[in-house]
Amino acid sequence: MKARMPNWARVVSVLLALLCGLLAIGLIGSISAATSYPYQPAVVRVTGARAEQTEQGCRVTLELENCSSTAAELEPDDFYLYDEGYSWLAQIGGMQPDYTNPFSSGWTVALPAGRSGEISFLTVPPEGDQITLYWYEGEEEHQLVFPVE
Amino acid sequence: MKIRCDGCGKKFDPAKTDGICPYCGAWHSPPEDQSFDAAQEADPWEEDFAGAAEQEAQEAREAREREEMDAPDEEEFDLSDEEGEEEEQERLRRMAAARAAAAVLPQQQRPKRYGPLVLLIVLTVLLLAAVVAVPPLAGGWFERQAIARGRVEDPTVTPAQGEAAVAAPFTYRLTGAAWIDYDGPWQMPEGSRLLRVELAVSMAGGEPGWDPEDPYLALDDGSYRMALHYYQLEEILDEEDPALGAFPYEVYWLETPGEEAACSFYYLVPAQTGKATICFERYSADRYGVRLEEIAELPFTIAGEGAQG
Repeated sequence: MKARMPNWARVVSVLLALLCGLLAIGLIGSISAATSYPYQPAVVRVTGARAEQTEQGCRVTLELENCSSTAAELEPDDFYLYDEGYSWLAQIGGMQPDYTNPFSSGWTVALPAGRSGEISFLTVPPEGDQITLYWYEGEEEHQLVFPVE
Repeated sequence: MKIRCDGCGKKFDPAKTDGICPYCGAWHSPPEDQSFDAAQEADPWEEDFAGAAEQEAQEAREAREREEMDAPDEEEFDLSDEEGEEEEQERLRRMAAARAAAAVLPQQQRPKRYGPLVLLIVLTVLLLAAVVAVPPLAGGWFERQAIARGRVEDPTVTPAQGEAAVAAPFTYRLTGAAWIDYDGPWQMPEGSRLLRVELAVSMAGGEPGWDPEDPYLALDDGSYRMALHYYQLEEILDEEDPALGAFPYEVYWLETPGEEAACSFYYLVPAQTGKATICFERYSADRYGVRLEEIAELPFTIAGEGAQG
């Protein structure tokens, strides 16, 4: 006796086949869109850090290396500093650059691709003798603990 | 059922002739005023002429009895006829039961084909899961490849060749550098000045597969200065600079080998800067992005209100 598919199953099969086709097209398009334009963010590594107490506050100097092929413009806010009491160390006297000003790059630190450099800024005095630094290389979080001289 | 005609006495089937005797034309009305069609369906003649049927059956019985009396040894045949009728009825019952069973079987026992439907449902679910999960995974993988592709460790630094720096396919020659006074409304960083650097750029070979970046300055204090963007300079400069924004397209449009295009770049540098190095980058490119391959450096000094390569 020959097997036979019910009519409702035939209709559902046709609809599912159409849906599968659309999904396949959407999948190909999504993958193509996700892999068509390369996004290469600047990846800046902290290779060293030092901090010294001054009358104005704590001067923190970070040694940096841009290990990507994209130039970076850095600000103190790109780095997160905490003292031993895990209090955030706010920057003193620093201002967020006014990006409507055509000279705004004068308030940031440029680090071209493949170059090394430094960034220095004042923070509030830390509690304790060491500072913990957090920063991101792309999406990877990194940590460095360094003493306060 | 046949009846006997009242006129001629012959037998005929009134249902087939609408009650008219085919031998003498006598008409016989159906019982209880029924039409012939209805009578044909309900066979009203059967009741009306039951007497005739009974009479006929009686005659048949009498004839059979006479035959039995004449031939008593044929009783077995009569018995066999009765058994045959029973067998016939039994056969008909079995056939009816078989037909009934055959009518039910297709509904109950005929196998259904759901295989393609199940396959399509599974395929749809898999595709839905793929549409949700694969693009982010593919994008993340592609981004990691792009970042890995762009990773640079100790790039090659090429010193100037004579008075020019070469970062293929471009050759850069310093033609001048000058301080630009600015007294506009925008606040400059304290102690900074605007420096204009003029270059003559030529190209050997075809366009590179990557977009060349503007050159940047490396200062003696170890810091770097990126060139101001074209849209920033539009708000700063009073006069139009024809060499501004000439790089790289004016260079692409050069037709004669060795021909140079005048290009200018502006930098915000400390006012006390006396020496600087202008740096040009060369990249390689593939589908994952670009990778810095080489940095060509061209040092120059800034003396007074001007500069020399």
